[in-house]
Amino acid sequence: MVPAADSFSLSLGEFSRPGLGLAGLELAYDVRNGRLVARAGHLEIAGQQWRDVRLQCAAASLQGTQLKCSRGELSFAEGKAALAFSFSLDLERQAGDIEIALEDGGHLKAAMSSGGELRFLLDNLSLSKVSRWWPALAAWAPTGSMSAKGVYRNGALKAQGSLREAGFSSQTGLQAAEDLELTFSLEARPERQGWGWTADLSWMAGQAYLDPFFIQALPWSMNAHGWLGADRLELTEAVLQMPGVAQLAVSAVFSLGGQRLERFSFSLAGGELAVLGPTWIAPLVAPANREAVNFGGRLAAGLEWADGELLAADFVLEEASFGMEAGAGGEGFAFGPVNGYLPWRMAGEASGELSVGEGRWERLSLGRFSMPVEARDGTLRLGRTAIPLLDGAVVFDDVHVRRQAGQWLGAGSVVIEPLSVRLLTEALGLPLMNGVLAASVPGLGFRPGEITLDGALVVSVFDGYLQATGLRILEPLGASSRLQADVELRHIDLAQLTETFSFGSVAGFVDADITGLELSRWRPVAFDARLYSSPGNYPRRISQRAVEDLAALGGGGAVAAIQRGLLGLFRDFGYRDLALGCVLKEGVCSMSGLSSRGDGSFLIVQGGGLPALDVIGYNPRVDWDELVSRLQRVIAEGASVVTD
Amino acid sequence: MPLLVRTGLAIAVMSGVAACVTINIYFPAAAAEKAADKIIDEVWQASPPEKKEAVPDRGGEK
Amino acid sequence: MKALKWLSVVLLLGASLVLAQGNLDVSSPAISALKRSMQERHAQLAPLYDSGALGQTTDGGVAVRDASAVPLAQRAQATALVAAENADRSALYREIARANGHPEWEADVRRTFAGRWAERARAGWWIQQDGNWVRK
Repeated sequence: MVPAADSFSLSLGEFSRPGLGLAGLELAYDVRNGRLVARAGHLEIAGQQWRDVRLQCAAASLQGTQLKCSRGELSFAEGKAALAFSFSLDLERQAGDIEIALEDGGHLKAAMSSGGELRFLLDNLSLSKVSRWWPALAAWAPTGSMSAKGVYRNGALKAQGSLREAGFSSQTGLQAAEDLELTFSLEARPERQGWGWTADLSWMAGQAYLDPFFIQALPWSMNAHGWLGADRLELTEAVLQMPGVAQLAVSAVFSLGGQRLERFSFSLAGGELAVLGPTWIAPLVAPANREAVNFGGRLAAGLEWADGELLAADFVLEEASFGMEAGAGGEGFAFGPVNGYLPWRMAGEASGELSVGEGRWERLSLGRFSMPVEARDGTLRLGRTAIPLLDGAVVFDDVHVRRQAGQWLGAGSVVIEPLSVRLLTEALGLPLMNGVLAASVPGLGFRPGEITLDGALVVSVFDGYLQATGLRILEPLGASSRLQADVELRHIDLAQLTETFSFGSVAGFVDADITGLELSRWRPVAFDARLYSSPGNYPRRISQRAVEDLAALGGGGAVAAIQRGLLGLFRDFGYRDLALGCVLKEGVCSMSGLSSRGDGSFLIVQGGGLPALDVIGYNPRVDWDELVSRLQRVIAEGASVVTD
Repeated sequence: MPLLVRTGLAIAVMSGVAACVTINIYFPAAAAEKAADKIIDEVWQASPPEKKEAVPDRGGEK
Repeated sequence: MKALKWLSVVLLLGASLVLAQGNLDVSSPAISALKRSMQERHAQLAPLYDSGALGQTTDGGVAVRDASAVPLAQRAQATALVAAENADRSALYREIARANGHPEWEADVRRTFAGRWAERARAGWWIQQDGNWVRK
């Protein structure tokens, strides 16, 4: 016995491989006490670092060339792993066995043979316990278990294994999975200062939520190859097989140090929209109404993304259709079949064209149209697009859309080529009116919360015309969505108007000015309106029924009491002038007439000629909803009278 | 009333008005807090929670 | 005497001006519509505030804090609620600024509301402070 052999220690310095680093490696063996301690000041595996890693063996023995250890323990500065391990090594033959008993009954066995071949078997590794000694995983709260076996031979690694009832969750729970059943096989060999790898992965069961997508194993499988460096994981190409997809390839670069996706791209061919749409498109376009959106047809797509920015995207649609069912948001819409190519470029340019076979928006049917598209340096430009509507068309021209500071902005022009008001009112289920509607809006602009239509909408109706200017749509997609406009009506033939709405019969013409008109869900919520007899010479008569209807509108008692007796005697009356104003604010219409009469009442129709009578309003403040329901009642009654 | 005093008054009045106008173009923070509380109560349909008095008036901040 | 009269008139005028401007009009139909929409949604949001799944953010919105208690299949619904609530809140701030003729006040309105949502959040709800979640 040489005293020097009582204990020995070894300093091994550093050891480094791509994705693996060891520094300050020391080995100390106290023969007398049978204690073996292996220590690494610093250990790094795939970006994760541990300090002061110690392997302690309470009962070690060296017999001949056989080094044996039992009751070992592993500890490090970041915590302690409850691993019981034992090993036996033949130092001369460089062969031996290691066995590690894991928590929860799992274990790792490895056998090294003298040829430098290492075989290992990992059985039932509890993933939730792994995070106790792998801090980077702790943030993902992994659950479930992993089993694997493999071999490391001639510098190359081969392994295969499975995950059972596995899951994970980010802190917010926005990236999470449950009940995952996965199998994998992996091969890796040294390449360019790192590891070149190939992997096959099958996902048989379970589900995941990767905000905003909820994905279920349908099942999926993936063949991938790539490269792992000290600080980078490259996915050169992954080919995925999943239902609803003929071909899908993905590539990506992930920074291990920065824990972020640097680059991502995919290409998809033969995607069935009916399968892909509900999972991948609906959550993006209609998160609150995912179930109401429906898809059909096929999609091919390519997308390139880097450093948080979409660089390029290409979509090819084949007999595609999109629709939203009628529901809370209105009567829905549907487009299809849609064919064509839609590109997007952050830099550079590309052009395409989409053609839409047919469309429906609310109750309006849209005809076949095509839309030329040009993408250039982050701006999308839509060329002249004429959408046939009834017997006219809505024509968009030079509409360009761009994304700026995370928001979509756009501008262009729109023209409504004359269309028949008769067909429009028929389609919308309104009382039939004759006339022509046209609009010219050279200044169409949109930004978040607002669409401005700088131009005019003109409708020729009832022998006169209506012109709307200063059109603005505020919060187009929100709960407070509304339309603002200033409207001017000139020379409206009351005879036609009252006939259309079955409101007695009035001969004459009126003009009207409505400023600050605001429509919310097509119902007026604010305006300042004044309607008055048009200037000029023309017959001015008002029928007994119209007077009664007017009186009913005012809630009764609208005709001067003295003249009430006259009403029954004649079928119609002459008038000199009529005027009615209404300022609608906060649900109340403040009315005015030709003149105010001091007691709060106001003159609406001033009699003239023979026989003549005045119509007077007595109640200048009327609840708007009440007024509308009265008007509807009057019209409904009138309509029934007409059918008599 | 001596001219000087009258002029002084006029200046005082003018500056007073001017001061009002200057204040007015700023955001009325105190009123906004009250309005916010009212809306929040309506949306959350809550009776005001038992609490220490509201945060100090930030009206003078701007 | 005459000057005094003028002075009082001007002061009154000034006072009324201040009064008119010192108020904030929150009675437009758009604001009412948004309030209604948010009220209706609140029935769905309240349990999520209670459970700590969602919290009030520093910028006057709501955000997912920890949705792990929400079943995976319903998590998209919770995030859709968050998106809709934030859209309404943003529109509300915009509308209040608009209704008072100062669209540029939007950021001030948002800041004011952010403080008040946090202040009035019920006990047990989570609010964001300096990027961290704090339970009231």
